[in-house]
Amino acid sequence: MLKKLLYNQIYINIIASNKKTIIYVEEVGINGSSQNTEEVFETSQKQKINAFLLQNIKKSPIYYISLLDNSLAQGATPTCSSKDIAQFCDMGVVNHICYTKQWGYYTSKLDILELKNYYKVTGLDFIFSPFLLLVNFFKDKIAGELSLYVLIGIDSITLSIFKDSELFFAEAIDMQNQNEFQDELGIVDEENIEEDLSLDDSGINLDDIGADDEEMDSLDDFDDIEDLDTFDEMDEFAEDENEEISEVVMPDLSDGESSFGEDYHRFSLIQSAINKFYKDDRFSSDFIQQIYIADSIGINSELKKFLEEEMFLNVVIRKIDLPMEVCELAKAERK
Amino acid sequence: MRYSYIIPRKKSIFTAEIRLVITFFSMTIFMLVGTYSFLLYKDTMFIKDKRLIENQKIVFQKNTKEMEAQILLIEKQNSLSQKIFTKNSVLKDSIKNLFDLVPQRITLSEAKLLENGLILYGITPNKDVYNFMLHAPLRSIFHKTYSSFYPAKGGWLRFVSTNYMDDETDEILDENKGEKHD
Repeated sequence: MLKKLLYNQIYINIIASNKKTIIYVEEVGINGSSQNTEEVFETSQKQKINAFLLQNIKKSPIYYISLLDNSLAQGATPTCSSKDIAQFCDMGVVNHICYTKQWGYYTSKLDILELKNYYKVTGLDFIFSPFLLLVNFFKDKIAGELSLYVLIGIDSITLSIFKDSELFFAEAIDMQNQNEFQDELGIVDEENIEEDLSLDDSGINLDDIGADDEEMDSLDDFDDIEDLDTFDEMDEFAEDENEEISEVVMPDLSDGESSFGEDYHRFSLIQSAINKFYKDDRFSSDFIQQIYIADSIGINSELKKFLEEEMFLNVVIRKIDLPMEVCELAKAERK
Repeated sequence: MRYSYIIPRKKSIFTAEIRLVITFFSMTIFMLVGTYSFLLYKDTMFIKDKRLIENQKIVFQKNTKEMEAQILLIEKQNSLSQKIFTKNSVLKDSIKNLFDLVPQRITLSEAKLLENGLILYGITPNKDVYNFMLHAPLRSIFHKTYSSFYPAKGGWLRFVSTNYMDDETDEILDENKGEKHD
């Protein structure tokens, strides 16, 4: 209490990916006022990152450094029973936290040590799971029917499937590690997309998305498929869509960060994850009709189009400010 | 509820700067308190010493007074002794002179020395011998001289000569009176 009266509280929130590291700093004053700053660094510029962190740390002794976990070995378990958790992860090597009695999330202890070591200059106070973030962000939705919840990060995707607040499936995907897509799609011209996509065996009809001139007509027809939005008019889809319509943020197509290839890559990863869910015996499968996307990077409409047209999913996209959400978690954790 | 995989580090309000400031102020306060305590101790000791010295002074003053009184007494005793010695010397001389004054024909049987007088008892063959050979020198010494005779065996006369000297103070007073009259 005395600390709050004497010093401002500094919440430093780090969203790290392979390419970029976003650092969001919120300084909460003694009188409750807050001041925010955000800086984006190349992840390779460790010295600059440390310098920026140290510069902010010096402002007050009451500071908290939070990090969004980007470990490859993280996940979530649809149970909190120690016996059942063993089906999903090795409790000896992971740090598991139960969110409710029904589900929990985990990450590798080694990765935590690695992260601590990486930020040893400034130290870390909180490491949050993206699953936790996702659930917090869609806490008004997870109590509903079976739906897929996706958090799209800079080069990561966090998926979870919930029904009545019960976790059915969860997966964290690092896009950088999906070489079969990244290496190819990151380099190819749009003209070669058809060839590249032909490598995909995920069951997508490549003819439908071919980029050849001959096929362009059919692609144009796809524009007409936007009429699939008429699905929205169908009672079972329209109900939620209307509710969320104000929340949908259609990103600027001119934004170079999310190219068509990347969107397709994301779509493929989401599709394969859903397939995994359907095929995995550990999860009680059910047909997914709704997908909620928390978009932190400003994805193109292509992804929505793919999901709607290829998987017949009702898509709801909400813009999410990841650093701010992490900051809110840090504040909640402090209380 | 715990959300994070790790527990936050404890945050102390005592930053390096604050620790430095606290150390500085602590040292300063310690030095001030130390100096104050030292001065207080010294002051107490000084007051204690002062009281002790004052008591000693009083004792010494008392002793000095006593000693002064003793000195005064001793001086008085000394002067008295000197006076007595002088008197005794004078008396001795006087007696010696007295006995020198007594002629061979007159025999003294008793002599009483008074403070300011002399009473002589003796036998004289006759009054003339007494008057010429003893009474005359006695008169020259004493201011008042009274003689009485009564007969003894063989025609001799026993005599009692009472001689008095006036007090010197009286004499001095008398002299002073005389000077004033002059």
